[in-house]
Amino acid sequence: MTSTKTRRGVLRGLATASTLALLASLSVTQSARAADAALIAAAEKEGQIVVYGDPFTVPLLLKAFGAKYPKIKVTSATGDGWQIYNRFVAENGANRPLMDVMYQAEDTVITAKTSGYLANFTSSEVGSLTKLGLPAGGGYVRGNGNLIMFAYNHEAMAKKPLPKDWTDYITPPAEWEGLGAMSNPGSSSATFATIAALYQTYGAEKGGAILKGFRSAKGELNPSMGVMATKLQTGERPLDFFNITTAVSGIIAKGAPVTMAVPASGGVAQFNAIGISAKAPNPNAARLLADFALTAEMQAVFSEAGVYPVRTGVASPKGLPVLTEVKLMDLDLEKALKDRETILNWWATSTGFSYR
Amino acid sequence: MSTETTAHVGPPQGEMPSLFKRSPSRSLRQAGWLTLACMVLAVFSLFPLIALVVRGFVETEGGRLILTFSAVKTVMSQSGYWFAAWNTVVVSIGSMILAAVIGVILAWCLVRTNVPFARLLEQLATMPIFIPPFIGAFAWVLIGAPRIGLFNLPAKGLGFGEPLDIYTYTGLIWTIGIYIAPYVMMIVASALRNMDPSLEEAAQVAGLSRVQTMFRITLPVVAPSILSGSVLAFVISIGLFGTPVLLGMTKEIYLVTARIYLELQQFPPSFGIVAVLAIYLMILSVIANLLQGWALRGRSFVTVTGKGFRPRIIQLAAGRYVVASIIWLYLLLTVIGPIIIIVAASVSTYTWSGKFTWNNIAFLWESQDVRSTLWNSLIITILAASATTVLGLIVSWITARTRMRGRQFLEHVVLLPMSVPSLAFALGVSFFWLWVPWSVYGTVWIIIIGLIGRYISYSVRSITSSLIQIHPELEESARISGFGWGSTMWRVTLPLVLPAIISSWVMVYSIFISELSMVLPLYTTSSRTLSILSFDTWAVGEFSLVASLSLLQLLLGVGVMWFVTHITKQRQIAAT
Repeated sequence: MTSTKTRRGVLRGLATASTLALLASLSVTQSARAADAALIAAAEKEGQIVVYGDPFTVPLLLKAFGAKYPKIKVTSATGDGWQIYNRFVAENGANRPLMDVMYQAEDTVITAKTSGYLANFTSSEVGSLTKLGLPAGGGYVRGNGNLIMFAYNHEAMAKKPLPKDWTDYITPPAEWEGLGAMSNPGSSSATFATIAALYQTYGAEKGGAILKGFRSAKGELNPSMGVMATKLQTGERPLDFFNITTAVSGIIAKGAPVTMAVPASGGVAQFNAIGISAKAPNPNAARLLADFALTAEMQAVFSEAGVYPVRTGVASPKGLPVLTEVKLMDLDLEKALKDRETILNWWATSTGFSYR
Repeated sequence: MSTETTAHVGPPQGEMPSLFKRSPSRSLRQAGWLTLACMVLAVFSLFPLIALVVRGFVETEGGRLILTFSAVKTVMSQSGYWFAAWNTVVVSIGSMILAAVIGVILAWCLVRTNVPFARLLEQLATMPIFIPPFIGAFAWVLIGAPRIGLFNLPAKGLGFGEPLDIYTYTGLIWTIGIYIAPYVMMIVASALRNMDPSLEEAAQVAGLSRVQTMFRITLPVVAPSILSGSVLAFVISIGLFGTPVLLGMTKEIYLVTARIYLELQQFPPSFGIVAVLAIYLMILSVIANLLQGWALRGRSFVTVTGKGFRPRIIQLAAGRYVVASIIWLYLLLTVIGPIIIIVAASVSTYTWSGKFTWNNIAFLWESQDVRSTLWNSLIITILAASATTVLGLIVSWITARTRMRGRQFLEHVVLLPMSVPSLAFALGVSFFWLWVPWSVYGTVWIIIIGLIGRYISYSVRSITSSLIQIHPELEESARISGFGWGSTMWRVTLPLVLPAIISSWVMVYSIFISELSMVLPLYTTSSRTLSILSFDTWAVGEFSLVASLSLLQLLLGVGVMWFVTHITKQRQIAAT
């Protein structure tokens, strides 16, 4: 009897606890919804938002955001990462802050953060992000990923040896002469990330030998990865030292004879990050947009467009390797940015190219 | 006959036409107008340059501003910048010579000979300026690049190797030269139309052959236009950045503009280096303009007097077909070939795929982005081109038709931005408008203001070269007949310089419709233009879409040119 009473008591206790837990979780959800509703109301009251950033992903983001929140007028400026960053700095310097949200290459967002231009921000969606979506330092979040790997025109390279690893460039085959191309790490964030990864992974000497090998095979310097992608598809420069999925996945989807391959030692993951300006004129709209970028809905749009999502449960883009399964080279971007001058000079000395 | 021979046609040197003799009140009024003009032009053209230079030479240290010359030291001490300056001079002079030769020959053949379909050919010959420079350069990459160039492929197949390499000094000069030749042609053609044929008739009566007449009469008389067009071509080429970046950087032929472009892509950007390099280009521009002024000093080039005339057409016999063939060859290389390539690229699934699709063309009317950017482009271009032409006319009139003190200063002010690359000038515009308390920053107006300031000199050059050909006696007669200043301007001066005004409007319109670098640092979503959309599309490797957008830009340029020409023709018919 006692035992029956005790069992009943335990069961009653469990039931009470469950009910309380359920009520508590309902209350939390309701308060979260209330917070969301409050954020939306505050953002709509502000009525506008200014976003600076990446020319590929920002238009996708703003189109979806504009459709969901038609009462908020969206303005943006997109372009090369540092050029847009310099514009943001100039506006802040003149005490005319216009930008609310920065959505672009992570190196520019880290630089903005360390320079004190960004508000400390953590999205309410961080619990749903993959490990790759969360930067080590915090203060901002990653919005989407890109993968940098080897890219070549498989028709033009049909009878030629193909690179399997970065170290293949130390003594490049004679058949590669005049076929390779790369872009400038001084202006391209993706290129800087890759060069920094080579520097951190292989060290100055071995990494330098890779770069020297690329140059000894008469590799050329192109103004951007877009130009490299065009030369890749025409076969003018059929062997990119590396290229980024956003520049190449579109032409692959259209049937261009281009293949991207992950080097044996790993590719490089490069991210677009989201930062909110410390002087954002529309902080609520900024917060709403930053959260929206990480929703399952928006991350699926990114994936559909060939951009890697950073949210769990959203598949990688069709035809591209799964980001979480790909072997990646280690890259400490914050450290690389501290060593930026050293890395750029190392690249310039090794390749003989000028970065500025 | 030399140009001095025509000196007697114009007003005696040093003697002021009675129309412009000054009374004290008139002087005061003129000074007022000149001051107003200077202030307007300073806001448009001078202050952005000052803002750029100040930003380059002033740094903040411990909360106070200090003057620094570290950028000058850097630029002076590094060989890369010296090479860039040298490359700029070589490529720009080469392009100028090529553009001048092509432009003058085209203008003369099309305006003064009975070459078949002259009107059509002239319209076709202006088309290169409607093709965005970086698209033209890309078209030439597809023609003349090693390994894949259309010209090289058959040559290689026939065992001649790869004769063309577009990534060389010659390739750069060629690509820049053929695309700026229409500017020279338009200016010279306008002058040839305004030239009194009695001078040539007198020469022939005196026994000169047609060729002698051309070299000893026609060319010297239109010399201001040729010089003006050549200097314009030189200054355009030193300020170009798309073509040098695309073609030059591949073989590490850096021009000053490519160095500026690289500098602005960096972090942290050295605005000091940008300012010093911009000053380099301004010095080159000033030298070119001074040389032009020196070459024309003391001469008069008045060819339009009170007598009525029609341009004299030289009747070529069978030679007209030879001339037409040469012009068609030029058009094939500069217009038809690249357009075919752009069309082929726009209907290809991807460049050189051999697989075709209408999707890239359908994108033009299906995309909301295209619709909104098209609207912005048209509004910005039409407003800016009209304002630039009106201001250009005012400056031309002040400098060519008045004796106001300081009018040369006005001319120098408008000419300075001409040589500064658009990207650097646009930065100056943004710095200036960020500093002033009331602002147009972030609106469509800042782009319009920037375009006017950067390109007003193009209008001034085009209109002035025509205005100085018109004898003041025409205006004097009108004033004597009781016309006021406004009526004289409206009924005498403007109709006479109308071809130059129209040509100026079309010229700046054609630049604005495809202008990229001026817009890049100044636009926002609400002021995004077609060229920005093209650039963003290009950045992600979608060349087929870029090609279809270029076709749209081409259509906008050619369509408006056709419309303007059609209206002008209707007016001429109505007038006769």
